[in-house]
Amino acid sequence: LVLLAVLALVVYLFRHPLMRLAASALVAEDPGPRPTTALLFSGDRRLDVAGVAFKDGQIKQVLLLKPPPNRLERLGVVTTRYDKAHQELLKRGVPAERIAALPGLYRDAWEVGDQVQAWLEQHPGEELLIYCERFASRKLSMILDRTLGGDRHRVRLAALPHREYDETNWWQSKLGALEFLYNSLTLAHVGLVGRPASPPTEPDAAAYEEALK
Amino acid sequence: VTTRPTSRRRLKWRWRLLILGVLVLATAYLSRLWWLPRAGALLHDADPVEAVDAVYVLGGDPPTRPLLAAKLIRTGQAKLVLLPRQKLTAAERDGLYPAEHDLTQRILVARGVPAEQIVIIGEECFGTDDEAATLARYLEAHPDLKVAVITNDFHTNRAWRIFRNAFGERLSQVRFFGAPTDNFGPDDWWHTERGFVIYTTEFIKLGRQMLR
Repeated sequence: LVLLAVLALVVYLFRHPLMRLAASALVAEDPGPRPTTALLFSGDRRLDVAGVAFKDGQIKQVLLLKPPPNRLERLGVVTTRYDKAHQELLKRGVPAERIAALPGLYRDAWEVGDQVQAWLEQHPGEELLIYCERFASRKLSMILDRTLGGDRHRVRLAALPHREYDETNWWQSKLGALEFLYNSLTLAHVGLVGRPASPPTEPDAAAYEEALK
Repeated sequence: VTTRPTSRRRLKWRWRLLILGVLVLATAYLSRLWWLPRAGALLHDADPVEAVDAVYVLGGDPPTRPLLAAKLIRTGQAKLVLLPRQKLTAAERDGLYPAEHDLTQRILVARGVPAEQIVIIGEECFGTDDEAATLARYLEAHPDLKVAVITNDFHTNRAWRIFRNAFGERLSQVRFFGAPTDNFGPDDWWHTERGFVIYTTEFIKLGRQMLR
């Protein structure tokens, strides 16, 4: 009991460094010079970051994800994620000829990893920068480790912080705490279970309603 | 070399604790197909669907919750859709995505709900507590309205507890209908990444809610 009490006291006294340490375990960034082709995978303000990097000459080409339309895109109530990102990049000064879609079919991060591998094979000698959400970067890195194998060193992750929280203060906001929790659990699932047998599916709105009891 | 009796006793207890821990973990693992679905079912506490005056669609999962509302309106089981006004996320403030209440309204209209039957209420909700308080205020002015709260099925137990705190005895005015999630449910939530994350998070949130 004394040991537990001392442990609890130590944890309480060092709670801020411990929480910073816990969040930094979710973050993976690849050091080294950054490639000039960037894939926008996820992350707050990734379009702004890519626009500025293009203007500064740090990147020459932007790849966007073009996944199959989701339920709401099929319903026509929102612009497809690809079209929206394309429009926003144009607004930020990236010319259309420097924007392309990552080719192939992908429904989850594992299948994106497969298509990144295909892109690397089609572009020998080139490297790829991937912008991703900071707290989800360790998970993505783990997935790329498993899908890219020996080509993993040709991909560098840039882990973008959220404007409202990062490793140093995530516990101070509800959003930060929730994102820390979600990403910790996601990382645990990827680490323990690995690649799912099949990616998720999403029937049309009409089929969903039809199945409701 | 001799070991003092107290040290031997401590060592013995540590071994016993270690063996007990291993046994508990092994039992939990071997019986997982028995207890995981039962644990998942604890989160579900939806009422059977019945006719109500209005449905109140909580924010959080636009691809599913508004579709149940739309079906209830089209089949005449509800006459009005109430939507809590949501606090804008950073990306919504940047204009990259529509506000969630606007998106839900578009989905409802696309699925055949007349725009005049949709009312956005309250201001800047962020979470179920805010949404419960918003509906409680609205129903003070509409005391005869029978309302069904629409949320995902895994969220119905916690939602009921939060609304009970906000409504007290007036909770009899409110029902809880559960919209199923795609790809996972109480019987297989641990199979998919999203199911695992959502159910585990919900267990934590429910525990926190019960301790309040």
